[in-house]
Amino acid sequence: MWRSPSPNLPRTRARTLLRTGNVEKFFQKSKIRYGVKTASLKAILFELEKRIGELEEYVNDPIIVYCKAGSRSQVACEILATHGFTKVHNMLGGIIAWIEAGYPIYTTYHHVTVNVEGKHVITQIEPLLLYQTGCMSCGCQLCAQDQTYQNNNTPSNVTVTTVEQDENHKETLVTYKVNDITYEATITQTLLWSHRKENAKANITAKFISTEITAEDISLQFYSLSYKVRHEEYNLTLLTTLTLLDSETYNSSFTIVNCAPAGKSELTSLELVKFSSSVTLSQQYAILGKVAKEVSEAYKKSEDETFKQLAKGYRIIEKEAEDLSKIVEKQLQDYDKEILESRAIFIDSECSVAASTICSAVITGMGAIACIWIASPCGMWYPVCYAACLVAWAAASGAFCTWLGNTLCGEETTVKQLGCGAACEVICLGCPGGNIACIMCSPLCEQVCEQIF
Amino acid sequence: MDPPYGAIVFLAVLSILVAVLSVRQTRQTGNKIHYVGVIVGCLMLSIFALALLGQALLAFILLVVGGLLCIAMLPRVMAVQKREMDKQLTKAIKEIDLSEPLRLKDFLRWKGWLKLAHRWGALKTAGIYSILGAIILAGITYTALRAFNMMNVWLVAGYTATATIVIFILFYRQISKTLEKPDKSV
Repeated sequence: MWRSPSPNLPRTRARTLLRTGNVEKFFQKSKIRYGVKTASLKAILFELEKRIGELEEYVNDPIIVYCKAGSRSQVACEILATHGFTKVHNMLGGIIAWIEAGYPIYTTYHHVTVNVEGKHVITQIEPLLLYQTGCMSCGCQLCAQDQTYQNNNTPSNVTVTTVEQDENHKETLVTYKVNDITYEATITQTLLWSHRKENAKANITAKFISTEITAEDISLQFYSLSYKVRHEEYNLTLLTTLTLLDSETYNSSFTIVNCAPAGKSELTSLELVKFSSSVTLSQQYAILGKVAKEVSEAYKKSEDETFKQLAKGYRIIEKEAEDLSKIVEKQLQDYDKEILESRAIFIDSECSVAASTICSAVITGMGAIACIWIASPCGMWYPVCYAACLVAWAAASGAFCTWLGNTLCGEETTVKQLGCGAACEVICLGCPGGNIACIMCSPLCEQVCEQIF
Repeated sequence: MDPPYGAIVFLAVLSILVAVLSVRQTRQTGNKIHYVGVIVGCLMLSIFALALLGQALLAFILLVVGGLLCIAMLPRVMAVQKREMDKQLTKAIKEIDLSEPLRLKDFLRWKGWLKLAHRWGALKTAGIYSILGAIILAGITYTALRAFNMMNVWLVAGYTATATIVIFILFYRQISKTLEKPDKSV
């Protein structure tokens, strides 16, 4: 985990600063050489003069200032110098140069880029350090003043009917009525392949399912491969969704691998993997195994004992991904096609936490786009409608995702968990800034949750 | 424990609204990209239905697919929204004489806010608008929570605070962009 560069700064304040999208614009007094921060302040560059008082006690101490590449920290240095700081140093090249020099960076969040050149797989693992500002999907619609649309749409008669069901096939019809018009969506699921293996220590199940959703004139088809291992020492869940380009090629693949070894530390890790080359489905799993191996070795080399514990989880992912690759290659040849764009996420955390987190991030993102239409009839109150919709959507989806995550992982849900899930989403809005925003937001969530429930 | 029916029904209603309003916007603008709303709405409904039917895994898969779809479609939807907004902005600003005196009734339309922004600047105007929006939202939230016997001051405060930040950002962006237009009448 990227240790907060400002351990003495209250988390709420740190979060506010992070939310402004300028995490890279911080300056810091620290013994950075060893990755140990004795005192620090993170600030937006233009705030520096206003907050200079917070550093008053360090006016005669050596201060190292750094940013992403070294230019903004130079400006910060000049500001500090004009305010009487005597030993100010700019870290040339910024944090990028620090990383390139091979100095330690403590993080369990990484971007992994995979390049396949012939038989060679080249992986590049980079720390996920910088706050990436999420563009608010504002929609920004100044509706015409004469908009007189009145919304009397009260949905009724929502029904879900199983039209057809046998061992390998299921067809479900969802209907609902709005303004006397009936809308329908048909979901057809076909089990194309399944695999089961049991031994004294583990229970392995795998399924490959085709799903087709038809609504009005629109049809969407995709495949999904689920691979679950219930081992006495760990639980591993792998889920891949594949969208089709044509009969020979997959357009995209998205894989979530969650591994929770028994007795693990409370540290959560997350690796975002992006393939720069097209690969087949079986190759994808083999490569994910190699990526997991490299990540595992990186954690193993860490000087920090808690980080070393993470290596175990990635060794498990390595082994299971390689096994799955062989299974797909042998048993699922018809579907072992080329994938144009592959992405994956490795999460080392409890199943329900991982599932709820992914659900929240995705569903809040969907809310951001959905609220554009919901707010469209609001005229001059568009921003109010959009914000109200977005936050209400987040609250409801927080409760829903908490329940879905627990259900998916076979866990019970308590009323408190539901309430906390909803409250957290209201505060964090699905962490639009990314994972660092989530890390910073979680403690605040917990505090608020404790006060409410 | 039972599923959170309240949250699911609420999200289902919003999803249906999304589908219906996107169809309406397609008809108004003639741009078929708004049909994405229909897909999003239907996907959400299917997700809730599957989750309630005990198909949590499939619901989760659909959710991920929906998320991928939204990510893929977001730039196009945003581009269309931006184009439509620019058209409306140009029309709105042309109809307003910013030098006219401010009247209270103007604040019920964009006219008043644009005039105010012209005089006081976008930042202050966005602040006033956000406070007004916050008061309205806090009032609605308070009333709704009281009605459902779920009143909690932290919930009202949290909801209002988060929404106010979003309102401020949206309104500030809109209003400052409008005032930057070179063809505004002064």
